[in-house]
Amino acid sequence: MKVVVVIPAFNEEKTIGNVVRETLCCADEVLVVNDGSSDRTLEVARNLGARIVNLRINRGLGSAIRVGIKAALSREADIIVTLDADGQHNPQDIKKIIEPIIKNEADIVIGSRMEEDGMPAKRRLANFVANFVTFFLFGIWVKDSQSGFRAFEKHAAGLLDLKTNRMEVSSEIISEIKNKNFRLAEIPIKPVYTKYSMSKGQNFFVGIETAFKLFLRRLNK
Amino acid sequence: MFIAQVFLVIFSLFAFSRVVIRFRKREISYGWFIFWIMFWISAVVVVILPQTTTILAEKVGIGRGADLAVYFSIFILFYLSFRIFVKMENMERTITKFVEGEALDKFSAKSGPVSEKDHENNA
Repeated sequence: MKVVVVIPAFNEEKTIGNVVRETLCCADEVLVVNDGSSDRTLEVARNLGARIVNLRINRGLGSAIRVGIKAALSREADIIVTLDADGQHNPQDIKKIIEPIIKNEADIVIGSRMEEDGMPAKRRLANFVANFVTFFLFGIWVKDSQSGFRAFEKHAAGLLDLKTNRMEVSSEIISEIKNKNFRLAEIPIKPVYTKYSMSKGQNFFVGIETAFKLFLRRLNK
Repeated sequence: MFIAQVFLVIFSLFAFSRVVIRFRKREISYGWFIFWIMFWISAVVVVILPQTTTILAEKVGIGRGADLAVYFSIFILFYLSFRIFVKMENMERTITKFVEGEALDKFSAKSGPVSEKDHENNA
């Protein structure tokens, strides 16, 4: 089974090198979606052997994931894994996360960070609020709706209809799981929290904006 | 005439001239041209003859002319900001579609079809 890892990246020159290097050993192809970075993210990733999809203007996480999935499908991927470029996900967990798909027990797998003790309280609270908003709007409860570490079986990936451009894509994927009746598995993963990865999360105001956009997405349904 | 009135009339005339220039450059549609012309003419009338708002206010059942002007302004501001929001969202969507399409086209051109070697490696 061909595993293609999609890494959306926006100004991640500090971490993308390590992330690509560590991911190459756990995947058949590594595909970095450079989301209009103004630093050397693209060059670093390319020099290490990652395939590049280059969005010339920053369009946001949702757009990067949408394009990454399409590009991975065009590479005839059987399983598509997404992980963050800030180094908070351990590529060694890819094996664990694709297992339910290989065993045909799930169509989509989410790597859940909530079961780990190391998560800072602020982040834990923000994730709980995001889970609640997702549940309130789309009627499906998941342990970690904002996790960027996911695996998609190719048919499920092809059926995803992602419309949002920015952070709200994480909750949109959850709503698609419910709408399309995909089988979901949640696998505990051990995130790596550094000062850098913590600074990359959503802040309060982005969180409010994300919730508002999700509300509009819900109205559009 | 008070200084405030003079200032507001000058500003309205300035805004009026901008509307005409934009329309001549075909940067705004005919409909919006009419809307803004009417808006700034009404503004000049209200500034010079404030009692007109009182007559209108009485007709629509609002006590004071000043209140009517405030309600009307708030209504217009909300409506215009809603229109701008919708326009911006549409623009965002168009730009995204274009940027994504271009990125995927370049990616396919560079990557080419998946080779036999790829299949062997994944077997």
